[in-house]
Amino acid sequence: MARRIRHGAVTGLIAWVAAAGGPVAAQVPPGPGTAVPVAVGSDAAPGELQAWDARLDGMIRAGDLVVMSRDDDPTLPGRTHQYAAQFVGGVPVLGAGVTRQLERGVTVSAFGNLHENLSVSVAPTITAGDAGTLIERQTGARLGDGQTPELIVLPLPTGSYVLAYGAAFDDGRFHFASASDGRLVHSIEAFRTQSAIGSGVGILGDRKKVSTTFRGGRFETHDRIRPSEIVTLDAGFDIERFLRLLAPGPWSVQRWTAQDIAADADNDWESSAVVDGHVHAGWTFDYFARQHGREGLDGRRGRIAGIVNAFDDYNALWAPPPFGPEGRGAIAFGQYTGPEAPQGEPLVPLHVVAHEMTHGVVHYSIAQRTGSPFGLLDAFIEGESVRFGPRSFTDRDGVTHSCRTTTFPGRVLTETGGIEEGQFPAACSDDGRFVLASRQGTATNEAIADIFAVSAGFFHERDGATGSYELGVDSAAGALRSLSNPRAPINPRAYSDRIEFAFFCAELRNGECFGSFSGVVFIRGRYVTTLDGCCYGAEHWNSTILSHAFYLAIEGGTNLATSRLVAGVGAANRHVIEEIFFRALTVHLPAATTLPRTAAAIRQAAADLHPPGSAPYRAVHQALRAAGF
Amino acid sequence: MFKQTKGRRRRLAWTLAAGIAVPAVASPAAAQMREWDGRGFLAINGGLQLLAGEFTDAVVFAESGGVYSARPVGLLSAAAAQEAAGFSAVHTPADSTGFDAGAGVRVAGNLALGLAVSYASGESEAAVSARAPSPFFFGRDREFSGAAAGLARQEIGVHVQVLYLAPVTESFTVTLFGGPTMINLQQDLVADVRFRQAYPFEQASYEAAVAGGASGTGIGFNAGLDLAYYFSDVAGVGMLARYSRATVDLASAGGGTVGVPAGGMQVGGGLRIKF
Repeated sequence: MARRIRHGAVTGLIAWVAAAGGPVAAQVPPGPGTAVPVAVGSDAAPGELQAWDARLDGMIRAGDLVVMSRDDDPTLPGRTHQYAAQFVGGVPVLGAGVTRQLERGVTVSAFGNLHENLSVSVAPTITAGDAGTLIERQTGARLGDGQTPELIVLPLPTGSYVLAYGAAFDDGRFHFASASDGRLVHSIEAFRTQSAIGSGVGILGDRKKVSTTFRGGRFETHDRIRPSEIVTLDAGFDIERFLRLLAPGPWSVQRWTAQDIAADADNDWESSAVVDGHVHAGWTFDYFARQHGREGLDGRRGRIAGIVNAFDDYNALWAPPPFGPEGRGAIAFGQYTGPEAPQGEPLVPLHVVAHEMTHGVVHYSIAQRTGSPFGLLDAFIEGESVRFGPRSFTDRDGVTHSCRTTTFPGRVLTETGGIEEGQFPAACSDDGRFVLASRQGTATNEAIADIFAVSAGFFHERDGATGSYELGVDSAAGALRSLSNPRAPINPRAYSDRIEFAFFCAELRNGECFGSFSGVVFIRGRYVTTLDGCCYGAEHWNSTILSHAFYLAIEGGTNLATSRLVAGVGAANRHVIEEIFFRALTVHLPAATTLPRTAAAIRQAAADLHPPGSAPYRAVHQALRAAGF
Repeated sequence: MFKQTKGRRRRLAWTLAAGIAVPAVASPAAAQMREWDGRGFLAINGGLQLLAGEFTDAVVFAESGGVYSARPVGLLSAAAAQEAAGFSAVHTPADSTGFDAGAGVRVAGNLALGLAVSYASGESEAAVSARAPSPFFFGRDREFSGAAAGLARQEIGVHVQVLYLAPVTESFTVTLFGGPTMINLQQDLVADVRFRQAYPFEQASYEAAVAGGASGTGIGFNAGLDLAYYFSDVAGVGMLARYSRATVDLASAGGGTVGVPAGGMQVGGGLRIKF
């Protein structure tokens, strides 16, 4: 970022350490640096690609980039894909790196994020073990079995960098602690959740086949017929059991028991949660295997674990490795209770199951290519996922807030592991503007999950699934999101209409900052409303910018936000657009992204598979342009 | 015993038809003039059994709800995943070789009562059409077909006969006969089908048939003609043509029975003894 961000509070004592211009005793200060997006492909200016290519090669020779993977293109002969992660002094920069597409050694495209002019120290003063212990002490969470905190350079949402240790903990989060004194500096929700709001038609009552295993005189929901085994566990709404199953653990070590797996004496299953949770996991596997050639979430036929009746809450989630009953990640489902389903309806329609499993595909796809154990991350790039708003705004109650003086309600983790609620100062630019931000890597993740969830529904129409762009339409609670007709403004259709939150920066101690998103909503840089809660990055809301583009690329029509017309390829060619989006995910997406970076990757994937001027390329190009990319 | 090719079999059948026709046309006047002079006879023949009947065995494996084998090559009986699996086998018995022995005694004039026992063994082949349910979806049967060969078949027939013996000359006798027949049939049926499948289980292909032996006995009839040439007062040679037919119910792998036509046209030749 060109400008440094300061607290909006009154004095320099609590300003960003780096911005204050000097180190603080006994801690490594956040260092300066600049995030640089890399997006050069088919639409690059003359010479731009060659310039980047030479620059990347130089960084590789210098050891600033390390090639993590080099894979043959699954579709185009002669093409390879290389992912190079950025390192500083041998320490990886979280989420930083470039995915480069080559055709017989010649670079075709490059996407990613790099950080320049980093001056952060890479010499830790505490050990990884100490960091784990200190994080446990601060959060109350426990480090997963077999997990060792990893030393990284952490780009903070506010544009600074700090040397930190990061690892997965059993509270469902990745925690990062300063490598100088072990204090928490960042935390990421590890689970991708699928919250739901709505009402509608009920679950179908249709009869399905359930792939089981006969063992010990009973049948168990253990599908061993498909190339990837699928195990469905039943937590029986026992939250302790659920948390035990979901806790992080060593890779591929089974921690579930015969008491956890769903079982039936005569193979005539009565629980619709078990039936649809298990069957729809199989159907989703089928979709990815048969439509895209990807066998399993990891593409390597790894076992898939699901947990039904996980919690009495209208939610579903994907927990990445090392979480889950085998340390491989897991999908988990609650239930909806409402007027349409007073007894509770399991939240296991195909769209929901496929959505959560797609998060798994996203995670493994990114982690395997980039080496990032944290999956797809949010890149905080000024002008995209972070930008500066007004210096003041007047809220819905008529109160005017100035960035330098206002505070927001928020929550932060305390050093004792509790949640501290309070008023925290707004994050401001040097010239006193509110910092507005949204989670755009996570929004990409949600968009991809929605896109392939509805795609799985269309794929299984002849099997009784509902082919619809209304995500979750089979749930009694009704559709969660519409890809065909997003409900603006909460589900925008264009990037310019994205939802952003004013960022707050909560002070812990010694001037170190730990921040998040306030509940103050901005659209197009203007205040819209204030939510009661905080800390949401609008990832589900903003996901429709991409998923609506997916819809328009297929079905055609006008993006009502920009009035741009898109000539779709038609429903009969839906698979062509699915292939393009899948390729963008599995080949081009870097470890951290923003919505524009993702759009660039999708556009490149279209160019890879279809020549410019072809109907698929034109449809994708027009749809992305109509969405403001 | 010998085994005929199709070409040779057609020639033999034509020859027999001509042989039967000529004495049948020529014999009535001679038969009225001559009386068979023996008290009884023995006949031993070797030959062919032709024109055995085709039959269809339809087997259904009811839905099991139980263990399902998804091995690359599995049995159809283990693939009845919540839906019936099944196959239809159209059996076509090949011509078989065998022998026949019979005896009779004169009861009045040229009429005699006799008993003959025939044995034939050979193989049959079956055209198999099968359907295996999808392990994942209802109403998504996978159909495939193949051929099963080498299915063993064995018949033992006991033929009770009323005979009319018509000496055409001193040396040449034409005998017409008919009566009830009891046939014991041992037949290999297709009991199961081995088939090949793999994920995503949209298709299946025929691998082999699993044969299972079945046996049963049926009652029917027989009728025929014997031409005997005696080169002495006691011994001679002859040719036999007998058509017999019975339906034998065999236990099918599907749990019911299948009616199998037994018998057919037996042709052969051998020794004749008169006493």
